[in-house]
Amino acid sequence: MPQTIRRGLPTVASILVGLVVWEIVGRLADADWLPPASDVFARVGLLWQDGLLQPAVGASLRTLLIGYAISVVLGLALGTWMGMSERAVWAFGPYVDAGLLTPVVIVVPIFLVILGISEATLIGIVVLFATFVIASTTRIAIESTDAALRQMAISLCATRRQILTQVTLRDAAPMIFSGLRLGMSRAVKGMIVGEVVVTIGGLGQLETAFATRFDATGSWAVTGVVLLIALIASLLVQAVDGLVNAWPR
Amino acid sequence: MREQTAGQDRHDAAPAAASARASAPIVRALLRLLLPLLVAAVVAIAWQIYAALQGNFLIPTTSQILAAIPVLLSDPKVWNGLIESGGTMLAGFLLAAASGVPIGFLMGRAPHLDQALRPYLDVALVMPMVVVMPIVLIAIGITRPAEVLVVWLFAAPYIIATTRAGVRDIDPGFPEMAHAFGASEGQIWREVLVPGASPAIFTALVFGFGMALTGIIVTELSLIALGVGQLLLLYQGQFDSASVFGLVAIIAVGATVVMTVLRSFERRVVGSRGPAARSES
Amino acid sequence: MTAITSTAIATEPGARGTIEAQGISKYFARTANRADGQPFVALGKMDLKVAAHEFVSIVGPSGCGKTTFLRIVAGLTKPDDGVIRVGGDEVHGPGRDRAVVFQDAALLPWLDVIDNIAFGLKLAGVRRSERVERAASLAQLVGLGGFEKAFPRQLSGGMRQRAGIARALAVDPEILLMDEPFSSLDEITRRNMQDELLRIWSASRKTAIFVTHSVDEAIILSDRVIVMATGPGRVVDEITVDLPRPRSVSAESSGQFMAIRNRIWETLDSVRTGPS
Repeated sequence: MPQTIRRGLPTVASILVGLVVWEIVGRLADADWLPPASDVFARVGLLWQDGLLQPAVGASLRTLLIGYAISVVLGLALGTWMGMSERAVWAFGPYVDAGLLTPVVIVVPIFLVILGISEATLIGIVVLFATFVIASTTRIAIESTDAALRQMAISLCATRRQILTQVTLRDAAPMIFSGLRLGMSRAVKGMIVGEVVVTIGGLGQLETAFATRFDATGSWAVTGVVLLIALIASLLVQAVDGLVNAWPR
Repeated sequence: MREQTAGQDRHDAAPAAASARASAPIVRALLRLLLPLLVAAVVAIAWQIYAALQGNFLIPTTSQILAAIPVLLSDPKVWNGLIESGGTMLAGFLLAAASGVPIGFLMGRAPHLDQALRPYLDVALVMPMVVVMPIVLIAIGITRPAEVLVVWLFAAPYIIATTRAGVRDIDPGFPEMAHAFGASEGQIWREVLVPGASPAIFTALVFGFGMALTGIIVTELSLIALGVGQLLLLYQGQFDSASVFGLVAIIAVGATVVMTVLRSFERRVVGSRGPAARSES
Repeated sequence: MTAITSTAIATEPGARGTIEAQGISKYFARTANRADGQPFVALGKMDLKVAAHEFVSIVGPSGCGKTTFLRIVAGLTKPDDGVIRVGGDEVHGPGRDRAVVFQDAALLPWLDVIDNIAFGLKLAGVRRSERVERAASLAQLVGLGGFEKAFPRQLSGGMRQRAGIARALAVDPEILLMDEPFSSLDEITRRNMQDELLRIWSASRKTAIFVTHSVDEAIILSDRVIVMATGPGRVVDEITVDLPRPRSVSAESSGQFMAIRNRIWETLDSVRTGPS
C-alpha cells in the first residue's frame, strides 16, 4: 500500500499544482474563457442543485451504455470471425482498418439523414466510434493465441465450440479487454461528439447551450463532468478486466 | 529445436488462416481481391433497394449518390471548401507536430518533467476534445485560428504520447554506452535518441494526422463550419441528401486513401523497428 | 537400414492398448527454403507395432519425424499415406483411448493445478465434484500435493510437467503419448522427473510412446528404443531393453545400459549425413 501511495504522489501533486495555477491564472487573467477553477467546481454543484445536470448525465449514460453494448457484441463477433477465418479478414479487414484509421465522424451527416435527430443517431455514432477498435483488437488477440494450447485441447477430444470458448477466447481475453478499454474511451468520445453535433439531450447539448450563451464557466463545468465519466467508464472496464482475468500473469 | 510440425498443419479450429492451405494461390489472390469488393457491392445494392423502397426524397439511392459525386467534383465551391478545410487541418497538424515531437522527446528523456506532465497527457488522451471546443469558441470566436487550435488539441496529445513512448522504448543501454564513451548530452541526442526514436516519431505523425482529420471534421460538423461543414449545411438546408452523401463519400474515401498511403509509407520506414507502445487513434 | 519385423513383446494384434502403424508417410511443402519445390519428407513409410503395456521410446535428431509420428498416433496430424490402428481401430483423429503429454506441458495459464488436471474430464462432461476428486488424487500421485491451488506461472518447469502428466492420466487413457516432455528441464530436475515417471508409469503400466532427444533417457525408461534418422525420416534401429523393472535412473551405471547406449550412438553416428 505505501508503495502505491508513493507512486501516486507525484500525480496527485502535479494535479494539485495544476489546479492552483489554474485558480490563480483564472483570477489574474480575468478572461471570459478561463474562469478560476473554484468557479467551475461551484458551477458543477449549482448545476446539480438546479437539477440540470442529472437528466443530461442520465441521457448521456443511456446513449453510452446502449451504444457500447452494441459495439461490444458487434466488435467481438466480427473480431472473432476475422480471427478464425482468413476469408473474413479479406472481406472485412479493409473496412475495419479504414474505420480505425480514418475519422469515422464524417459519417455523422449520413446518420442524421437516415435516423434523423434522434437517440438512434446518437447510439449509431457511439457504435461507429467504438466497434472498429474492439473488432480489430479481438482479431489480433485471437490470432496471437497459443496454438499449443489448442493442440492440447484437441488431443483431449475437445469440440470446436469447447476449443473456442474454453481455450481460444480465454487465452485471448486479456488482449480483448485492452480492446474493450480502447473501445470504451472511443465510445465516450462518440457519445459527446454525437450530442454536440446532433444537439439533442445529454451533456453535449448542455455544453452547446452554454457555448452559444458564451458561458465559459458552464462549458468548463460540463467538460469536467464528461472527463469524470470518461475516467469512471474506463475504470469500470478495467475492473471487469481484473475480475475476468484474475489469474496470475 | 522444435520439429517443423507445430505450425505447418492445423486441421483444428485454428485461428488465423485455417483454410489457408486448402486453396490454390491464384484462387486465394482472387478471393482476396474480390471479397472486399463483394462486401461493398452487397452494401451498395442493399442500400439501393432499401432507399428505393423507402421512397423518401431525403434518402438517396446508391445510384443517386454515385451520380452526385462527379457533379460535386466538378464544382469549384466544393474544391474551395476542401482546400479551406484541408489547409486549416494542415496548419493545425504542423503546429501539433512542431510542438508535440519536442514535448514528447523531453518527457521521454526527463523523468521529473514526465512525472509532472504525465497526468495532463493522460487526461488529454482520455478527454473527448469536442467538449473543449466551445471554450475555444468563446476564447477565439468562430474563426480560422479557433479551428487550427481545435485541430491542434486533437492531434498533439497523440503525437506527444507516441513520441514519448518511442523515446522510452530505446534500450537504456544505448545512451549509457554513449555516455560511457564520453558523449555529451547533445551528442547522445544527435547520435542515439533521435535516430532511435525516429520510427516512433513517424508513427506518431501518422497517428497525429488521423487525429487532425478527425479534429477538422468535428469542428466543421459542429460549431465552426467554415469549409466543408458549411457545404454540408448548405446541402442539408436544400434537402439535397444525395450531395450530402456524395460529399461524405468523397471525404471518407479521400481520407482513407491518404491514411493508407501514409500507413504503408510508415510501415516501410518503420519496418520491424516499430514502437511497441501504440496509442489509440 | 534395419527392417522392422517383429515387436519385442508378443501381443495379439488389435488388442486394447496396442498400436500398429503401417507405411506411415508425411510430407511437408517447404517452398520457403527449398528452391526446387520438392516436398520435405518428414516420414517415409514408417512401420511400428507397440504391444499393450509396452513402453517404447523414439530417439533421434531434430527433423527425423519422431514428433510427427507421435502426433499422427495422437490423431493431431493426418498422415499423407499409411494406416494407424490403435486397439485394432483405424485412427481418424484424437480419441479418449490416447492422451498426450506435451513438450512444454501446455497448461492453461488461467486455471489452477486441479482445474488443469481435470480439463480433459471437463471436456468429457464429467461432473465437477467428481473430476475435482479425481484430479486431487492424481495431483497426489504425481507429487503435486499442496500445490492444488497454484497457477501454472507459479510452478517450476518440473512441476508444470507433473501437472501435464496428471492431466493425461486423468482421462484414464490406454495409451500415453509423450512428446519430449522433459526437454526444457535442467539436467537435475530431468533425472528426478525420469524417476518419477518410472514410478508413476509402473503403477498403471499404460502403453507408452516417449519421444526424446536423449539417448540415456530413452534407455532408462523403455522396454524398447526406436532409433530414427533424418532425410527422409525413418527408423534405423530398434533395441530391446531388458533392464529389470522397477527401475531407477541409477541403472545407468549397469553394463547392459552402457552396451545399449554404445550401440545406439554407433547407429546414430553411422547414419549422420551432411552438416547437422
